[in-house]
Amino acid sequence: MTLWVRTAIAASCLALLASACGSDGGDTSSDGTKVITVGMMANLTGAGAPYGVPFKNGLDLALKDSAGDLKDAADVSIKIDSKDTTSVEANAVTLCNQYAQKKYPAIISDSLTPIAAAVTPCATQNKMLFVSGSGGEVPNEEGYEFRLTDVSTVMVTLAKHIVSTGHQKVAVIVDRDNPALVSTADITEQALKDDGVDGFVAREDVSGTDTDFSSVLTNIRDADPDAILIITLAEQSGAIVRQIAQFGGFDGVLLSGSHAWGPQVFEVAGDAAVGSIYGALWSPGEASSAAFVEEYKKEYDSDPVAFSALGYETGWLLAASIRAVLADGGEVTGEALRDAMADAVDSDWLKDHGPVQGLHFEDGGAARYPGTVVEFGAGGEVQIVTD
Amino acid sequence: MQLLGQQTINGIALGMVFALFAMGFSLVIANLSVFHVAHAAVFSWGAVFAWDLTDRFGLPLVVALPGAALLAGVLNVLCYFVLIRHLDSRRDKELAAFISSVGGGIILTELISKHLNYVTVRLPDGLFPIRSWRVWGLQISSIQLLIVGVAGVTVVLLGLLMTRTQIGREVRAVAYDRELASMLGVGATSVSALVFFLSGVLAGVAAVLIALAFSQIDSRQGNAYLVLALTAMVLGGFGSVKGVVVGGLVVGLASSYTTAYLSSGYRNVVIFGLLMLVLVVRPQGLFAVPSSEIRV
Amino acid sequence: MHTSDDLLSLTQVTIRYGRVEAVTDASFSVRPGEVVALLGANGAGKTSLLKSISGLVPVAAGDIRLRGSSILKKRPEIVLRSGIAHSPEGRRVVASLTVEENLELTGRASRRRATRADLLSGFEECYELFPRLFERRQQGSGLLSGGEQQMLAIARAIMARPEVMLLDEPSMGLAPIMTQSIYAVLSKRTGTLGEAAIILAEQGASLALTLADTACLLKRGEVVYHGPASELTAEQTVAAYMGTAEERQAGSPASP
Ligand SMILES: Nc1ncnc2c1ncn2[C@@H]1O[C@H](COP(=O)(O)OP(=O)(O)OP(=O)(O)O)[C@@H](O)[C@H]1O
Ligand SMILES: [Mg+2]
Repeated sequence: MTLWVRTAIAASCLALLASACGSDGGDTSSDGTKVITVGMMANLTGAGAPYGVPFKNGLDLALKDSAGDLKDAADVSIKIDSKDTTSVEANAVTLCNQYAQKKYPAIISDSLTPIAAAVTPCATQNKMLFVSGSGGEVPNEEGYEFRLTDVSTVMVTLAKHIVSTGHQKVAVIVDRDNPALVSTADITEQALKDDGVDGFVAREDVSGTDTDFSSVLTNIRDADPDAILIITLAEQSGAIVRQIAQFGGFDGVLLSGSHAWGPQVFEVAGDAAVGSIYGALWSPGEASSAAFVEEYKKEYDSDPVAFSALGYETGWLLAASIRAVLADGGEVTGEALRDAMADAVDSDWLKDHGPVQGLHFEDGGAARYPGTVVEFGAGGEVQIVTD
Repeated sequence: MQLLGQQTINGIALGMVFALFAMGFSLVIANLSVFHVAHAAVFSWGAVFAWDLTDRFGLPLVVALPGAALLAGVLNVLCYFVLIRHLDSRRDKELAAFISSVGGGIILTELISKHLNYVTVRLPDGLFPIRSWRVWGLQISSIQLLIVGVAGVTVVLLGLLMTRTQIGREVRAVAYDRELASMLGVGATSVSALVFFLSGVLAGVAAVLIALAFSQIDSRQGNAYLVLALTAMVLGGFGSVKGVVVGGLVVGLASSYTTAYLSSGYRNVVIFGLLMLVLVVRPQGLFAVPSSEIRV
Repeated sequence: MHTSDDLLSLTQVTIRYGRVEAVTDASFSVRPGEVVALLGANGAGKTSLLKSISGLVPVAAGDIRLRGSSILKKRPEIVLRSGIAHSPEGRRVVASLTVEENLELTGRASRRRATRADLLSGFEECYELFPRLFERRQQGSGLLSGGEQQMLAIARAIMARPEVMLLDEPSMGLAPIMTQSIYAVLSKRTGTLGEAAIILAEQGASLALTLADTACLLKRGEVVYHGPASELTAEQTVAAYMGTAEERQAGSPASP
């Protein structure tokens, strides 16, 4: 080995080392503004991609929109350090540890309860604020985790709508591999009972990797339901809706889905999805969101979905809590950000800009807001059917 | 009773697809004693070819189905020459070919991911008319008819090819004794290439049917079917076309009955439990072929 | 060695299996229609020589020519199609095919342009020689008796309409009466059996010599006699099989 090769290798090792531990959460940019870096474990590919991509878009847009105000108010800016997890828990945990080493005060995950569950211990241990777009309950004693998907309230809204439109015999299909979806089913069953229906007439578990639903659908058809509730991830739900149409014998049965639904259901199912409804965490038709919707369309040339709104909300939430910490003269640490979340949610800033109306957090970190019920129209557009 | 009948129909449709997959796999085993696991990736490619032909080039199903099957056949022939053929002279050629096939399968699967840009795709809407009919209280869909029809015709054609034609005789002779077959004027290499082609075609047909029925195409699709098809093959007793078809149907029915009367969560437990049971009670499989007539 | 009227000629053929030399510098030739008895004890190299002609085992040195052109390195199916049919040792039949399928397989595979008529006349010739095969033509060939399988193996070679037939120990493991009847057929020398040259590999010299024009005697891989069958003496044969008197005295085993 010649001298210069050895030198080159040593130099690149040094460069790697430097890049690994050099940057932390508090760099200063060229114009003297303090830069706060936040780590993101993005599900840009794999099963979480239908949620991760719009979430990230919304987040980026929020940071862009809030940058001016934030600089004026606190002379800081937020930078996102984002890497793809391919929707795999182990990758997310690895990223979390990397972000902890870089001493970021906060980390973000767009969706998927299993990922939130895997990352929360790492966030807690390293005292990092952890905002997740997921909805399943995870152990979170020190309160570093905040999850933005409110499964229960929107499912209560959906159950009310199903019953009030005259449906009594509801059958359910659940992805048993996903604990959040399983508890969504339980919550919905309770809500149905509260509305005077005897729970589900049939309950079929499927695996997240299943592709053939003929046997499951046969069982469901045997129970003769007037509504079917499909609580699986969006693409699989689309496949189920499509197979329901292919299979036949479900004429006049209302198809409905959980908050996990979105435009992907229509993309997969096509016309078979027209007329089906789902509990949306957020929908573009909400009056207060007009500005956000318009801006999003301009930026990305596509309609925002619920997870775009959650991402946008997350961006403003981060900005608001950083602002709150700095306003008190504190240092931007994970602990301080965690404690500032309550103030941030109540701030006028968030109320003015955040698309999710009526948001607040419960003690365990779960978000609460009412959500809406929407219906697929003939072209795949959704319309709010609740008032 | 009605539920039983309905689940039987579901099981038959599913089982026919398993049988197609398993048949291709066992043709190769009979021909070369090679465990060609890249077959699963060829299956996945079959569905991808169908997607390319329909979604990208706008061809109708009547063209795309045979087209995708032929392309899958050609791909499998390539697998033979690239992964397996050159190992022929090795003493441990079966093992070497297996490992080579595992590697090839991984590469082919990755290539699909790249080709599909890491997303799940599906065949375009309206490619096949969706109807369903009630017959004696049972609901039968056009897709189920298509599966059973196409798979049935394929199986019958394969059976005729194997029993009635010179090609079939040559394939059976090579399966029985490669050296002897070559003394009798049969080019073993060209027969092997042909067997890989047929096997790929079967995988391609199965893949297109699956893609149509389950509206989902991704890179790993074939892997899920590999284990089930192997089970079908072992249940059927490795032997005849008939054995594999029966094995496929048994697996398909077991799968849908379990969902009907237990829960879909027990499906794999039941299927593999059945496999263990059959292997204990009847190690030669349900339809053992006399050893003097082994294979194909 | 090669003369213009030779159909098939082997020149100094050497065959090795790893470090074992099975055949050393073997040379002999076959004229059209001639019957050559290829004689030798167990392990003398008869099967190896026949396989090398068919292209089933590689030749380490030497040359094999058919009608003057080399057939070394040709694949077995090509050798068959150029006119050399091989009926292997141990009555190997394709047990998963019926008797007639066995015949049809070779009938078609050996000549790509075989017509239905060619095939039928081939069947006819085979069934005339071996009426037992006709009776069993729809039966799985794995279920035939040993003698019947041997008949099938010979008939199959006939189906290829060869110029040279390689028959490897047609008497192996058969009852004397069955051997008799097979030799009776071979000695008819009509049709294909009459036109083709035959290399008849046998351990038992006497029966083969009744049929042969020429004898080729192998001893541990070397040709120790090649000449008219009638001139091969009993001593030469015994010496090739058991070693010479001196060798026997020295107590060395004659064959492996
Ligand atoms: N595939 C093989 N690998 C290694 N050695 C072999 C192989 N085939 C044959 N031999 C050896 O080559 C020599 C010649 O064998 P070959 O079968 O040609 O004899 P043969 O004259 O046909 O004997 P037999 O009368 O017993 O059939 C023997 O010593 C044998 O052990
Ligand atoms: Mg021999």
